[in-house]
Amino acid sequence: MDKSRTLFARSAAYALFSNLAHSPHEDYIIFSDLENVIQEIEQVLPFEVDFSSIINETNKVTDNNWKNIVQSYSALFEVGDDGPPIPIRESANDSLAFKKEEITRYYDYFGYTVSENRKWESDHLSIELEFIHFLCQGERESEDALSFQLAQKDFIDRHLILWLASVHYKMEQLDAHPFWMAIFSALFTFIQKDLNWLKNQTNELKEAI
Amino acid sequence: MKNQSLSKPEVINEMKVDYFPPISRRKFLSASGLASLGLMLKFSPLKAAVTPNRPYRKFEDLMRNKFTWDKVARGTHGTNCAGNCAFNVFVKDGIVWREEQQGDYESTDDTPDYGPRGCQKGLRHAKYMYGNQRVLYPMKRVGKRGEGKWERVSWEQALTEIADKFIDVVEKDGPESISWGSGTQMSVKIASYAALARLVNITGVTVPEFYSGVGDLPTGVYTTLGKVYVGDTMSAIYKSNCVLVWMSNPAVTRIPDAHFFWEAKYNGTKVISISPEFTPTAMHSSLWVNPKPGTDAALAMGMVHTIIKENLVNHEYIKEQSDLPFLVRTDNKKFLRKEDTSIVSTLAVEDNIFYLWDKKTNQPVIAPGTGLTDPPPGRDRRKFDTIDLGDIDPALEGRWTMSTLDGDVEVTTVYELLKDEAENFTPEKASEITGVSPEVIRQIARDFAQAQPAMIYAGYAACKWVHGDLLQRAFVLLLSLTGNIGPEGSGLQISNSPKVRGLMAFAFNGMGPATRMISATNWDYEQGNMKELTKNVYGEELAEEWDAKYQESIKEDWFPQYGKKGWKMGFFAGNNGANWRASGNKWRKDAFEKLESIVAIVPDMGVTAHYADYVLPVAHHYERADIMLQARTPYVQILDAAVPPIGESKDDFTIVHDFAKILEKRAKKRHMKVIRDNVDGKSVRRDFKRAHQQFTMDGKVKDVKDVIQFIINTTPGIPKMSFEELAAKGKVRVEGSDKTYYDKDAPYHSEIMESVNEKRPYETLTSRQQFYIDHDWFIEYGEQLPTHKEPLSIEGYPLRMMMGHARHGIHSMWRDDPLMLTLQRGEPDIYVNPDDAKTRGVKDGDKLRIFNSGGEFFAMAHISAGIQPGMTFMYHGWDPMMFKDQQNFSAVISTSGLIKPTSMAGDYGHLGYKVLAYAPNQTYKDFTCDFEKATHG
Repeated sequence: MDKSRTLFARSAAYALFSNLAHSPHEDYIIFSDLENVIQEIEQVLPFEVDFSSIINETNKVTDNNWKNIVQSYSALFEVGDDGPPIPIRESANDSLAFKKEEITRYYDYFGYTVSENRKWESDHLSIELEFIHFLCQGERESEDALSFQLAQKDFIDRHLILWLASVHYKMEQLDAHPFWMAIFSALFTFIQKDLNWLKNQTNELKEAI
Repeated sequence: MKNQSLSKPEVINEMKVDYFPPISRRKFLSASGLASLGLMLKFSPLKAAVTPNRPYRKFEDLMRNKFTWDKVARGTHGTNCAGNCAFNVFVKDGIVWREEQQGDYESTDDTPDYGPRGCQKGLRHAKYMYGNQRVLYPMKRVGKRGEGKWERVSWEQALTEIADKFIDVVEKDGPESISWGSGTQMSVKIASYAALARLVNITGVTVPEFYSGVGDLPTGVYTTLGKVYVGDTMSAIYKSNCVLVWMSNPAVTRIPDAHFFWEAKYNGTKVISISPEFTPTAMHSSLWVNPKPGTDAALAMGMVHTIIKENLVNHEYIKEQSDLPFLVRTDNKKFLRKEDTSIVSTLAVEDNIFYLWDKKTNQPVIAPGTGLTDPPPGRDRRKFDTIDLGDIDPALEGRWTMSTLDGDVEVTTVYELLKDEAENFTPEKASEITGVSPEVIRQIARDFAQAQPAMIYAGYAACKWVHGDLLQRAFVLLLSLTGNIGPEGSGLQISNSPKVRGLMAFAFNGMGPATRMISATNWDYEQGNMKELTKNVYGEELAEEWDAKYQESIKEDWFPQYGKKGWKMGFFAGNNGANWRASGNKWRKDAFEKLESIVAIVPDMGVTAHYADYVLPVAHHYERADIMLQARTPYVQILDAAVPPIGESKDDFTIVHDFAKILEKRAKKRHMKVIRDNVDGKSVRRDFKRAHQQFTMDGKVKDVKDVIQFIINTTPGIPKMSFEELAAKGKVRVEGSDKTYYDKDAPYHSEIMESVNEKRPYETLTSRQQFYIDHDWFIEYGEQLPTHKEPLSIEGYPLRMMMGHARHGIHSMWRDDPLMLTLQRGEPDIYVNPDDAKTRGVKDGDKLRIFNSGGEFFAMAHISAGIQPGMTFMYHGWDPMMFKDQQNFSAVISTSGLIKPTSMAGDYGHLGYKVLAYAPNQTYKDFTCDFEKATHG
């Protein structure tokens, strides 16, 4: 296995999901060659994933139905009577609010800074995913790759995986729009597999050390 | 921030970032779009990852680095608790993590200091502000009203649509058909309120005044003293020898200040708590007295009887300061006036010249300081006249015959009439009404009268009874009889308010006052057809009689009437208007939900926003700049923005400013004509095509800091400095606050002290503390003097429901905070007496249905021996959204139509509509209900 290619595919996958999980009210981008991108990621990742539902749903996007997709994101994650039905910020989940400090400590430790207008939502799912993407890059560049790899594993284990399961479950309960269901289902599957892979990898690395 | 919600998302193919080694990238990507994707950091400034200083091996390694702060800002919580607590707000990475009391307060004289100030709500705010209840983006309703379906929209879209609707309504029905209800959540933030006051002055929309609208206006105080704002600083408590804490629970509602009571008690002050339920304040007091709910005025009159009977009266004080020695005709119960005595005086309308009986000459003499006309503009008559008796020694007791234009009539003094009235409330008779032992009544009367100084610390609860004005008049009477208005440590401590001339100067600058402001009580009565409710719940006779008086008052032009063409559009800013209203279920159904358009401007979701068509997000306390003055402490307190507003929220100034801008733009686009308006007889031209230009004073006012500086510069009593200097300090002591009461230099009202100490006339008809009101309506209803009247009940429902401010919330603010809920029962609960619960088969924790003919709601039973039989108690503020069917306690508070006739009296000296002084209160207490174990819900 080409470690460099694997790392880059994982990094790209996190960047992709960071973008796809982000609010479509803002700088939302869908790439013209998304299908190629996803296929390349699927091929290179060290575990099996199927992102075809994302491709299918993306292909269905038109000028006419886009507004509906955008509204459905808001209704799930951004607005609602008691707040949004599914908090997209980790600390907005009551039981996880105490973990916010740890997120900031992770960011500080590895030099990840959130842009000024995003700082208040530094625990937004998109930003947390981007942080993993950032750690992937660090792993590649740094002489201390293990630090970055262990951080990826721990951050996913201690943060993302905990509440992404609940996000995914609530989306199913709320019969979320297929566009978002496809993205978040793929993301949830990917993260679980990536975490398992990371655990194995880091165990091996630790043993080697 | 770009908003692409209306079109398909951008499609890109270009590479954004490139700092992976090029070779490996090209090898892998073969020019695919993955390059642009995999190498992009969207939420972070472009920066390569760096190797950490220490290797990372496990999460505990993170904790080895000290958590440091990027900055510590000064701030407070701009909410309406009047605490004004100075806080340090700790920020790291653009996030507020915690807050801490600033603490460095001084003391006044030999009293304890004011700090540290704060409570659990304030110390929780750093978490709450990021909570899930927060409104982060402008929202537009997409489902049915109240269905809870929302669409996130841009500010531009929201404000444009709102402005267009605004113009539609104004062109069709006039600006008075639009309400812009503010609330204390905003009014305590003076710059924000000034901005809103300027916008409503420009546009002419109706402002339902919320002071009386939430039942907080001390009209009984105004009736007696001609002033509403007579409170001192909280440290005055320490100077008192006896404090009656009456209808108030400061251990819960004044957490930062409650220490003054307990320190005073430690110092020898007798603290007597008077409340029907056993409160946390009663727990710490020297004595707890528990009258039956709504019988407090009988208790007060029983004390009055004892004070008179046992000769504990300060005769010299009441002869000079009060109308008690004034002469009254016994034939028609009217004051003896100069116009009674000569045809010349009748023609001269000398109806405000009154008489005393001089014991030295045994003749009637004109009371000094009476007969005063309204002052000419710019001249304060109080500076030139006096109530000094000179050589006159007024009789307090006696009956005489005088020759008048009606022939010989008997006259007596107000004091004699008061003695007669007090005979109806001997301690024994008062005991029958109140349930308090006659000996206890006598003892607290003696303790109070002999303490010197003594004070009554009362909250706003008295204002919430239909006959609460009578109770407040009795409060003032107790104080006056014992010479306890004036000396340090005495007086009635309900409220004071800043004399923020800068606020009004900003609001009216360039166009003068042209604001429609009316009590929300009146507004609701008319727009919600509350007469109908009174008819259904309290009977047709009462409804018709009181409504006739209401209509007469309007017809006589004693009170204004706005919104004659109906209520079409409502803005709710700084308040949760659909939460706190009495008869909330009817109001929502018959007024609120019938509005063509509802705009809620809120930081957090609640029932008002739930029913709105547009919800606009407001910045929370640590995300904005403002300035606050609250009379409880002698400080001006700053709010400084520790962090930028989160999400897309904006501060109130910016929202109002941006709305004015878009209103102007749309008015120009639609070629809107100038509105020729008339407010209370004053002609006003309103040109919305200049709305923004006017609002910004031709561009001079750019942001909220400009407004703050304007207020600092133009308000007496605030030390002059820049906003930045003030923000660096956090709080600054106001001028004129060397004593525990305020003097003339202070930015708070101090006129009562001037009347007492300098013998200046009071702003009442009689120029005295006026206990006798000889307005025809007062005579008709037997309310010439302070007295007790039974509270209203609903036939067939035995339990009186009492309410009070909560420990774990400030009204509906923080009421839904998860941590706060864990400190309570986690859901709305109602306190009931064990015997009442037993007879209804109810156990603690059961779900109860509380009901009467007005409606029903559901809450958890909280059985407590601290609750009298025949009553229930519930802490308020629970949002309807926290209840089944979104119905909170207001469903059974069927009082919205109970506007007592005397509260609408006018054409009588100081009585008649006066903003924030004399208007009918929304009342919340005069009803009864019952409860049962819920079988559903």
